Amino acid sequence: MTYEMFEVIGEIDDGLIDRCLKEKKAPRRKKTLIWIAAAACLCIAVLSAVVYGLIQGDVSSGDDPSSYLYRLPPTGGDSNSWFYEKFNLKSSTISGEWFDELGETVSDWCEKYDREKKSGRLDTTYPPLVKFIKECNITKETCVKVMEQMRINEEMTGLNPPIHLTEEEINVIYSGDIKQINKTFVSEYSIYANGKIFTPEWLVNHTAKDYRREGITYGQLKEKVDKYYTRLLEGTEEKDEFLSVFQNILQELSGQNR
Amino acid sequence: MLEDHVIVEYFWNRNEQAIRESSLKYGPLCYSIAYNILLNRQDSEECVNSTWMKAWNSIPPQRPNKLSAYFAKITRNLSLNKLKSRKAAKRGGTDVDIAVEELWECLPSSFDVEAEYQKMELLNLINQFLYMLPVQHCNIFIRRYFFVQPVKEIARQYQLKENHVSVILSRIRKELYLYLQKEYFYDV
Repeated sequence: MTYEMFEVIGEIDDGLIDRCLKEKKAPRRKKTLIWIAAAACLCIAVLSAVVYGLIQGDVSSGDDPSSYLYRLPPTGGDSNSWFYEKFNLKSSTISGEWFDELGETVSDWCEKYDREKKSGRLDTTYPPLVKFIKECNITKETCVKVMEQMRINEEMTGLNPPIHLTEEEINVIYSGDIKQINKTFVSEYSIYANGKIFTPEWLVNHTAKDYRREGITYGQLKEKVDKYYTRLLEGTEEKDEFLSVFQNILQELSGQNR
Repeated sequence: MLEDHVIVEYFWNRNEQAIRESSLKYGPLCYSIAYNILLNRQDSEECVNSTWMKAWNSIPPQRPNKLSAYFAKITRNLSLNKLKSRKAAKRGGTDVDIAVEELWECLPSSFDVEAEYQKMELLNLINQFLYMLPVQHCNIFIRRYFFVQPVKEIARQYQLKENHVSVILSRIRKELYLYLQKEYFYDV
């Protein structure tokens, strides 16, 4: 009987829910480990914010994506939307531990990031986390401390895959070497070649000649296309068109690069 | 982030951007609701994805005014359904079970919430009651029984002791019981 009561509460007035969500929360005074859900929220918020800011192709290629012939096929929501990204998950996540360490600095930066994205002025040269570290002048010592806290929390909560940075990855970020950063943090759907990252959107809009010029090999493309097959929505015209473009490129590349 | 009415227009125009923008703006909220109920990352992500699909299938014809509440309700229902199916053989122990137990004392025995009209009656009375509460108490109640947030987390958000939050919730439950008893018997 009370379960039904619980369900009835699930139908309460939208205005009540909205008012509750808009309520200004009390400022945090101390660090605590009991923020798991909140941390996950913050992660996802920033993840979402950054992913969609990065779908406009690869700035390192110097192209204007608005002139591209092909658009990316539909992927069907959250999990597959990672398909569009340039950088991997861990370099695109500003987790709750950062908030615990730096407080409002983090939310202020996220708001700034969002504004830049909306205005089309977002510079996507660096992964969001690297951009955050640079722009907020985060010291390496602080970064190491936050990552250690992330590691502990991930172990406690069983978060998988882990998204804390390793010592090696932290060193790459603080080296400032964009080629190393690209190589280390390239997403699983994009290709790294000669210091640059080539997103699926770039790949589908260029020819085998461009691939050769950029040093992208048959093997590199083949590996990604196999992934695209499994991750894209079935039965859409866009998917068929998208994959057939790659088949042609692979055929052209196979003669020289294989 | 886009305004709600723009996102709703995307849904109405069958533009997939609707799902992306919804995910961007409300993904964290929906995830936290699902996670509070399911305590499982993968299941929670599935529920959030299902939320967008359900919204995609229901807008149009629906045109929600408050997308946050609309998505929150969908996610909550989906998560509860998933929890029910997951726990068909085994009950007890989750935060939902504890919240359900706590609500037991609110409901006068004369209510038969399985009857649809009484369910509607009960919903109306709960809405009225919640609007009469001080805003902070109302929000604490909603956080506990709508968003299924643990008491510890609510206490942290309001900078209160856990015990203080428990006392507030207990008092609200008693008041709700008295209110339902009074209003229901008065109406009948």
